[in-house]
Amino acid sequence: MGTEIGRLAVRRSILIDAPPERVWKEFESFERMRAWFGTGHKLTKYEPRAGALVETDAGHHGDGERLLFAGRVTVFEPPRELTFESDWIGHGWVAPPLITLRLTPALGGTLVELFHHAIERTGTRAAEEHRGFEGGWTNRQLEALRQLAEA
Amino acid sequence: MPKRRDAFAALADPTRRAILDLLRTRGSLTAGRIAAQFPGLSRAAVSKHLGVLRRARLVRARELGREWHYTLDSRPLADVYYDWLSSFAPHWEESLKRLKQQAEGPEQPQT
Repeated sequence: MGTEIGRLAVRRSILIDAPPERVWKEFESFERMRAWFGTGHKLTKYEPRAGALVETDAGHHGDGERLLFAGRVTVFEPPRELTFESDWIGHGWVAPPLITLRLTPALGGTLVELFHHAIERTGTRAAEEHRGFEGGWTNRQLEALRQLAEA
Repeated sequence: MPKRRDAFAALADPTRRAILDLLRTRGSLTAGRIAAQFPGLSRAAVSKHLGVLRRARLVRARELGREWHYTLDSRPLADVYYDWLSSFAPHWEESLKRLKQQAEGPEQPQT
């Protein structure tokens, strides 16, 4: 039950004033997921089922550079956990880190935790990757999720 | 000569400090590579931060092919340090000395 959080992990969290079932609705389609998870890197592919492809794009428009992270959904367990692999395409990682979104009933609402973890699997420069992502995640996505779920 | 307040304003933001950390450890990076490391930010937001850092002369940008490559320029940091921060060093040293004396001093009686 539930994905074990890998040792090199970045964690962000937020307490949302809504039950897990309500929060989970924002995970249930590409459009809904894009509206909050895609507020940083753009969400370009997602389906709400295990085995589906998730793709995010850090690049853009203009300079022609596309920087894709992609992987399969490994756990889709309403209303508790969504986990997918996030391989930086063309970056030469040995194995992809995971992104886990975990919903836990807490204090009459839902604690949502975002883990970017198992970064140790990426290879010999894992410590550097971890430092980079630790500086790079904000609470922006979770804040957007909170606003949607509490509306 | 960039104004010192530009460096302070640029350094006030945690994302911009994280970008400087990234460039310090990795040398030269394209704007895209920097953006890749910031899942919480849109590419437009990263470009804006890079613009602020450029204007404060904390990063240098070179266009190679179709991509901009960024490197750290730590000289404005040296100005911040030597012109202003270092003037506080005697105060840190004084408080460290007091802490040391307290830690090594006679044990407080248990209540």
